[in-house]
Amino acid sequence: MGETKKPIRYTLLIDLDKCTGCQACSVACKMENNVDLGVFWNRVKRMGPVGEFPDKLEMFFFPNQCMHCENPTCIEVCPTKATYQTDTGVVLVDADRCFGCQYCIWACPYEARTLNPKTKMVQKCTLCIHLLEKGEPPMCVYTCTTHARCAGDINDPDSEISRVSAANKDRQFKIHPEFRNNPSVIYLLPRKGAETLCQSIKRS
Amino acid sequence: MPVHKALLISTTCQRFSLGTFLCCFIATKFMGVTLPMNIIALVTLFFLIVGGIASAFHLGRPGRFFNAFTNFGSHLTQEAFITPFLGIALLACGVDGFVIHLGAATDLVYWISVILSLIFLTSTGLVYQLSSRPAWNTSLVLIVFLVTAAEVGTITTIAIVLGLGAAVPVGLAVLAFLAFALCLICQFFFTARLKSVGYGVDVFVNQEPFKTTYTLWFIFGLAALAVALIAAVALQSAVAAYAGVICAMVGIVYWTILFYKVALKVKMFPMYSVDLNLNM
Repeated sequence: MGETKKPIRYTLLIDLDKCTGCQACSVACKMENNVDLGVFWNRVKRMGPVGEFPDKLEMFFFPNQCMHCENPTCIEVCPTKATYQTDTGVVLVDADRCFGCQYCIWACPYEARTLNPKTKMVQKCTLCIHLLEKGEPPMCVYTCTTHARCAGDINDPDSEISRVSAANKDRQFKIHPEFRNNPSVIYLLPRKGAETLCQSIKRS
Repeated sequence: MPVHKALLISTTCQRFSLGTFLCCFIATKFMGVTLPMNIIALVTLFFLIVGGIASAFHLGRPGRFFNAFTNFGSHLTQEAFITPFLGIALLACGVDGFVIHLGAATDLVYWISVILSLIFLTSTGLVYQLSSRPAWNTSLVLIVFLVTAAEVGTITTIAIVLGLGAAVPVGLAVLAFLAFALCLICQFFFTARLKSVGYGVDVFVNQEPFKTTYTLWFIFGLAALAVALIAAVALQSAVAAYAGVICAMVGIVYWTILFYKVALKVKMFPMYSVDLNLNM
């Protein structure tokens, strides 16, 4: 009996060991999606520095965008059903339905959403689905100077994201899974400079 | 979280108006007080409309308001769905005796209004009970929302009774003190809990930027309201009761401002004290 093919599940993998905080992804995202001033679909945060040089110093960069959760609270709370999930697992906002109540901004634990002051509607990362569907990488992935990011179908064992994910099982983590949203974005822990974080999620 | 002024006005109006309607209903139904319930229903409707208009200003695209009736799993949709039915029920109560005579249906219409009011207040309270905001991730959010409505409702009912020249029944006074005490207990538990919500966003209300708001709530919503309530009941003073209503309203306003301020976003990595957002 043949193995049934799993449905396409687009997601993003970010290796925090490689991210240098150059913000190229943020800029590329803005360029590709015409993101207005004051609106961010993609941010890079700096954690630290904390501790003492040389051995106890911790610092790393954390790119933050929509986690394209499997059980998104934003969809649950949206009164207009403007926020929805595609068959490929990408969470999107229908600009024709959103009335800017901002309830999804409150409900998202990941700071992924912004109210566009110009359009008065909520916007967020689309995972550049228009590019993914053409077989091209999202612009943040394409632009990443250190190849810290990769995106694609996590259910396809031959995809780059599946291969990178499988090769780094020991460093994988998802951000705040306790909110039960089941975020789909996979992060890889930094090999050095995040010892406190590793300890808190019980990794050496 | 920033203070959403439109929502501050709407939730204050909702709690004041529906709390008063419910308490006046209880007083007339179970405590032998005679109150002009039709006028009270109309005033309730008026404040509900004021609140509704205010909340429309919160929407980025109010012209798309009717999209709100789409997701019945959302407490906002539930609130929007209940609103017209509650409005019609309150209007029916309001025009009873003026325009129409409900006759035998009076009780039924009032009970429907009461049930819809409770559902409406519960839906609105649940809107704020969100796990993504550690300060709001507790059932105290809904409880405080309901008991503040009861608190302002009971003191307003006392004010109406005294304003009409009647004596405050013991049951109503007990209810007012119970609502006041319950409200304070829940609010103190809520603020005490804020000290250990985790995610790097513990809140100490006796420190800025919360201290001023908390102090103002303490002055109006606790100290002044307690004095006014005791004076209104002990002296059967309508003036003290009116002052109590104002204190309760101001108390709710400052409590709600504090409520918004403490709803801080989760820190992604609370174990790192330095957490720079490199926005460009």
